[in-house]
Parts: sequence; C-alpha cells; structure tokens
Amino acid sequence: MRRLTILLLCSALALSTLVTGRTAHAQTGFDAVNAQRATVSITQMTRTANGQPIISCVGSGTLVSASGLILTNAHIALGSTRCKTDMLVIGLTLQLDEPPVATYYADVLESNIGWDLAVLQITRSLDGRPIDRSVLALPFVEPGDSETLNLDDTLSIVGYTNSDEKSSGAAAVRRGTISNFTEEARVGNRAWIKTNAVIPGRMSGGGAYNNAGQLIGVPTIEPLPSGTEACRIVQDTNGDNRIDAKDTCIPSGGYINALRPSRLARGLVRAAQLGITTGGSNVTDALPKPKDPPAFSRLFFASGVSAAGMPTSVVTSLPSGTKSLYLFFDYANLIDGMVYELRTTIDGVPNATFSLAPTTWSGGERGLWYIGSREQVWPNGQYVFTLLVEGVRAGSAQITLGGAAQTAPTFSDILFGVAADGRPLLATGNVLPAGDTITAEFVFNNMPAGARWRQAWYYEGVQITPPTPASWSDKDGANGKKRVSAASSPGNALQPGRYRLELYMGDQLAATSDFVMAGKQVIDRVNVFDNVSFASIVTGDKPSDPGTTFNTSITRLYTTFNWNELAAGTPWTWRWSVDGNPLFESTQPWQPTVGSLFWLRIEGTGHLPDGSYTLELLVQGVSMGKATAKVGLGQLPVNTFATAAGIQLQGRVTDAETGQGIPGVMFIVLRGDVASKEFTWRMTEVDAISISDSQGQFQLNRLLPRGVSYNLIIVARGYLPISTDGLKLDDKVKSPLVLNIELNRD
Amino acid sequence: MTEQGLTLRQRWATWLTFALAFAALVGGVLLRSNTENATFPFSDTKTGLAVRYPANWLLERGTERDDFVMRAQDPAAIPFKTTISLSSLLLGQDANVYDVTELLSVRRAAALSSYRTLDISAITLPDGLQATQMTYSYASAEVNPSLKSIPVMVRAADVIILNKGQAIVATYLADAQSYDQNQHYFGEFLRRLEIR
Repeated sequence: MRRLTILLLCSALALSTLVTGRTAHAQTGFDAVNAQRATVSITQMTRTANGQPIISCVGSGTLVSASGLILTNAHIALGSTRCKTDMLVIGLTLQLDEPPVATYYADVLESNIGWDLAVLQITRSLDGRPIDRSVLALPFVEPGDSETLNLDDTLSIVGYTNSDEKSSGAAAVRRGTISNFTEEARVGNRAWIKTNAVIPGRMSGGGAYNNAGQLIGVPTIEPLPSGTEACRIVQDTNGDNRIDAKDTCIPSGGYINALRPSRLARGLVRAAQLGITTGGSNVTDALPKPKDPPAFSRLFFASGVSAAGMPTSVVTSLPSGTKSLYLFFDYANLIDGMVYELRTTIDGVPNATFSLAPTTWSGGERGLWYIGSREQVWPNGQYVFTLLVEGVRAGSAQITLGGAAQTAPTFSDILFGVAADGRPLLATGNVLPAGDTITAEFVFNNMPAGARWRQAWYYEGVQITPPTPASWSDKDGANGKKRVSAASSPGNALQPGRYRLELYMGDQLAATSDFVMAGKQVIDRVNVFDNVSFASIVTGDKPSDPGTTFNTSITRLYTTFNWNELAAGTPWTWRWSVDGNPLFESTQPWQPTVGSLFWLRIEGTGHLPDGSYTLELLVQGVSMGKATAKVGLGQLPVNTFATAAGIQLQGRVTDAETGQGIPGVMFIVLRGDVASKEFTWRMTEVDAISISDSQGQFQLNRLLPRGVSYNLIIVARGYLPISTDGLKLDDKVKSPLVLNIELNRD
Repeated sequence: MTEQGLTLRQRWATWLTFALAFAALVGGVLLRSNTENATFPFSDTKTGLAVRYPANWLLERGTERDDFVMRAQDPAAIPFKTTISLSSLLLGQDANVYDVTELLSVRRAAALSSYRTLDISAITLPDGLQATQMTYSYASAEVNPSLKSIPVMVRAADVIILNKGQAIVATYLADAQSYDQNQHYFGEFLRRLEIR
C-alpha cells in the first residue's frame, strides 16, 4: 500500500509536470489567477469620538513582495479630509470568486503625493499583534517596464469592485487597450497611461498588466469632495442611532481612465525593499496656506513642450492630423492634495481619451502647469477643455482642430541666456544667473514687415517693463531668430526669483516662457548650489563627520549644501538614488533656513544598506548640483532587487480510505543535497515546511526556485509517512503547483 | 480432543507457544517503548547547556536572531506540533524568578493570542535542583492566511532555573488535549538536562 501511495504521488508530480508543460505558454503571459490573488482590498478606517471604527473610503492595492509590500495610491494610503485614515485594513483574496477577507493592518512606508503612489507594509494581524514578515508567503507580482508600452496594447486591470446586484465584490479583471499617453507638468511624457477599459472607481490603487503579465500601471482616481459624487452610507457614523444623510458615506462613483505608470512606482518599491525613507530637512516651518480660493487663469494652447516644461509656441488652431497639443494654464492658491480634473469635449461630446479623471494636485501654490499629449492623433473638431478643482469648475478654454496647415506668422522656441556681444548666448536655459540684464532669443516665421508685435517681461507676476508696441522691421526678415532683452533700472538690480516673457502678435499671445533667476554665473554655467557634501551626523545644523565614505553601521545619511541667490518660493527638486536606481524625488518651493547650510536626510529602518548614494539638485528640471557618497562597500548586495521567481507549492493531504482532509500533516521540503533517507530531522536540512489546515490544505511558506530538484517527506501520526526524491521544477512547471496526496493509516 | 488425550510433548508445545507469543509481545512493547523513548543529544557551548531530546523530532538550533537555544518539534503530532525548547535569559544581580515570570508573561501576551497564565509554583527537578514552573495557555493560529485552520488551544509550561546570572527556561508546548499524555517527554527532557 505504501509503495502504491508513493507511486500515486510520483504520478501526481509527473502529471502536474505534463499538464503544466501544456500550459507553459501561459506562464509568460498574463496570469489572471495570480494577479487576482496578489490584489488586496484597502479599507481606510477612522474612529468616532467614542472610539467606534468607521469606514471612510475603500480602494485596491497590489502585493509586490511575498513579505507584504503593497503598491497602491497615495490618496488611499495617506487619507485626506474626505477619507480620514487612522487605520488601513488589508483584505486578501482567499477565494477568487469571493469578496476580500479583512486580514491585516498595514502602515505606509513610502509615498509620493504628486504621483499619487504609495507603498504599504503589512505589519499587524487584525487582533493587533505584530506580523513576522519573514514568514509571510503572500502571492505577489513584479512591477514591469511601462516605457515599452505602445498605443493599442492590450491591458488587463485588476482590482476590487463594489459588491452589488451585478458583482460579488470579488477581485475583477477588466480588459481594454491603451488609448493615449498623457503628459503633465513635473512628470513629463507618459505621466499617465490612458485606457478605454471601463474601470470602476473602487479599483483605484489596483494593478494594470501588459500581455506579458507584468504590472505596468496603477489605476488612479481621487474621490471627489463629499456631496459631488455618488457614495454609500453603510454605518451610523455620527452616533445618533439613525442612518441618514448626516452620516459619513463611502465614495463609490466615478470611472477610471488613467493609470500611473510603473516607472514612477519603481523607486518607491525599491526604497521600501531597502528599508530607506526620506528623513526631512532642516526646514521645519510649513508654508502658510493661501487664504484665497484656488484659481486657474491664462489658459492657452501650445503645439509642443520644451525640455524645461515650457510651451514652444502658442496656438489658437491646429490642422488635421495634429498629434501634439497641450493646454497650459497659470494656477494660484492651490494646496498640494487638492483634487483637480480636466474634462474635454469634442463637438460637445465628452471624450475620455483627452480628459483626466480627478487626481491629486501636487504643483504647489502657484505656477505654470500643462496637460497634453503627443502620441495620439487628435480628431478634428471643436475642443472645449474645462478644469475643475475640488469638483468646482475653475477655468475653460477652447480650440478648433482641422483643415489644412496655414502659413501664419509665428513666434516660438524662446531661449534665455547671457548675451555676449554677438556671440551665441551663454548659460542658456530656464535658469539664469543673477545679473542686470536678461536676454532671450526666439524663432520667428512668416513675419510680414510692419506687423505689430510686443514683448512683456514679468517678475513674480508683476510686469516690469513698460508696454513697447513695435512694428516688425524689414531688416529682421520673415524667418529667423531674434533677441530681446530687459535690463534693470540703475541702482535696482534684477532680483532672484521667477520671471516670465510674453511675446504678442498684435494683441494675441504668440509665445511665452518662464525662467528662474538664481545663482551665480561661473564661466558658461549657473552655480545655484555648491559645497554639496555628506555626513552621518549633524549637530546643531553642522555636519560632525563630513566626508564621502562611511561605515556600514550608519543609520542616517545627511547631505549638506550652500545655495546662491535662490529666492524664497522658487520651485526646486531633490532626487536621491542608490547605485543609479532613483528612489525619491520631490519638488517644493524653496524655503531658506537660518544660516547658510541646508541639509536633507535619508535614513534606514536599521542600518543604511551598503551602496553609492547620489543626491541631485535641480531647478526648472535642470541639474544644478550632484554628489555621491559611498556607504560600506559602496554598492548594494548582489541581487538586492531580484525577486523570488519561483513556484508556489501547495495542495491537499487526504485520508486514503475516507477521502477526508487530514489536519496537522507536516509537509517537508528538504534541501537539495539531503536525500530523504539521509534526513536526520534537523532544521538545517530543511528548505521549507507547511502544516496542513483543518481541511488538509497546505501551502509552503516560500516560493521554490526553478531548475532545482527537491526531496519531500510527508508525515502525520497514525499514518504511514511517505517520501520521494528528485522532484524537478523546471521552467515548464506552472505556479502554483498543486499536489493532492493520499496517506494510508498505519 | 480432551486434555487427557494430549501427550507431554503436545503440552510442552502449547506452553512454548504461549511463552513465545508472550515473549514476542513483550519484545514488541519494549521495542516500541525504546523507539518512542529514544533520544538524541544536544549541547550548546555558549550557554553551557546539554540535554537529550526525543529521537526523530525536528531539531532547530537557535541563532542570534532567535529567542531560543534549541527547539524540538514532534513532526507527527496532530493538529499541534508538540514542542520542547530551551532558552536562556541574561539576568541582573538583583533579579529574582518572579521578574523572569513577569517578563515572560508580558512578552508572550504580546505575541500569543488569548494568552493566560494559569499557575506559578515552585518545583524540584529530578536531580534535586530547585526551579519554578509557570503554566499557561494560548490559542495557536496558522500564520498563512490562505490556510483555514481553527486555532488550537495550547497548554504550556515553563520551567525556570536561575543559574549564574542567567535564567534557563525549559518550555513544553502541547495541544491542550494531549498535554498530559505527552508530558513524559518533557519529564525525560528535564531529567537529562545538564547545566555546565
């Protein structure tokens, strides 16, 4: 009988291999089952005044590691006035066709509000006890490369839907294709992946997969302020013993048509894997919040965007076949975390492809912003773009696309720099050194002699040059480049800060660009930040151990630097990377601190991992300082980011006579070099273990690498133990590998 | 056939059969007992502990990350794996055994569901050493959320021996229903415990 059982087991293994061999092709494609199992439900909960937990908002997330790292939206993780969050409850997909089962609490490890992405870590069970994440063996998926996507690629979006008469509330898969890639200020090209899939708002934070089964995006939509969209009232949240409109409701409306690409999530996930967080800076005072209501103004269109995020030329119409169109606008009095939205109609019909569903604002209080695209042909028609903030209409502009290209006069491609007596401009770019004169060069085409035009220069929103209408000179010609400049008045040097040049053709805005005046000119470049250095200890805002190499044992790494002529409020960006892998990036208004030294810090949950840590400082998207420090060996351990691509071994152990599952059976996988007959019952010889549950089900607590042979032992009191050697898991075996094993009574 | 019909030889054969059957039975029982009571040695030079644990139990030697010196589990036990372990706690000069029981209680209450201390009493070990025994119970639940196990009520005992600035804690964990039945393993374990 024992031999028979072993034979049965071997047959089962062989059959599994055969079956999986036939489905090997599916291994490289989208694995819906694994994606659904890796999808989690995230419930944002808060407590009432009397301590009762209430649900404020719900969303989805995706497990990106077996140890419980979850990728989701920042608005789901961090909460807001709309979605108050004291606790994040994680529900797992235990049965594919059933709603999620609330199982854990999670904490936020990393987040980027602007990108609306966050990484959570499962930390506690629902009874509040800490989880040993090293023993978690949760199903997960790996973030893929979103840059390889193309228009019309098929996408599968996985997330939770609301439980109603149409849905069981289980993790669902929605399919569609990529309809566009949207560009947006601060992020640049492919800030959003647009899809024609119908994705309910509840799926926000879930996962979007390409045909290869890689996680390439996160469906994203912000819940709108209370009262502006559908929501569900499920609890007596105000404690008045009645459930009515006065109770807090859970947003349930809206459809997602935009995905945040995985490119933006990779750094956050890697930082979480390394246990590194940003530790702030020596600026402690928060900027005062604007008192006036948010406003969008000066809406206009451009046919292109420069590397600095500025419009190449202003347009009022474009011909048929246009691929590149951008809506630019000024904004003021906005607060990061507000919800904004772009609604687009073509000939009066709402168009999701060129719209942007409600999303988190991250541009700071004021500045110039844009949204547009350049990879999809914009259909002919009358376009109306409407901007909303916090669900309220805040601005609108329209443009007509169609017809043949016209040879109208144009100004374009404004370039700022330092003039040098007839020679090409020096220190060109959108960051100019402090000085007395600003010079700009622009391209003109089809200009008739005598045409009326003018230039207008602004500093921090205030015009600093008088109106100077002029006629186009015949000497300048119809096509070419022209320089304009603005100089300070005697005794009043131009101040560091944000400037703008507007060029008008008649009274029509024809070209515009912003630039920052900051730093000092050093030969042909601008020096804004200098003396970038590192330290592991800062005492009283002074580095105690400045250097570029540090021992493995440090827990914090400070970078210190000086700045030159950088006005308060000027947007600047810092970017941390380790071994060339970007981890964190943040753009914020400059807030000078007391003294001349500014520091930023990163820290580890334990020691900082060995590696080369690089800090890059940018203004207007231009690198203005960069330095690297080595910790320990100066490089991350080999395979730091390698995820366990292996096979999940699971199954059921039953009584051969009754067919009933046997609880408590120990399923042991021995190390490859330990044959079952040589096993001396020491844990050092064991690779993985599982103990069957009350139904006889077992699941190993880690993935088994492929290409290795495994030896198994199955043992339970009252039954004959069985063992088998040489279970080979090659590339053809599909995960999970399910074994059904019968035990005979002894 | 009557008894009178049996020859002497037949009578001897009958008695011999009975004797052989009895001897085989006794031999089987002894063999089973020997197998069940067979032990393997374990020693740890760092803590100076040596002990014998049941043969064919799964042995795990603690590392710096673990809170035990050794742990042995009965792999065949159903549904909870009967476990015997040894751990060592460094103590200050003024610490007494009740500091240790309090420390253990707090640690376990934070880690184990439905933890409850049942009894704390002084005991004498087989070799005459004085020790303190703390019994407690908790609910053991599977950590893998995919497996559907009903938590098992576990009964446990810590035997605490203070020795040269450290507390040696021998722990016995068993399913509450088989606690008494398997306690002989723990008794034998304590009997063979050497503190060097």
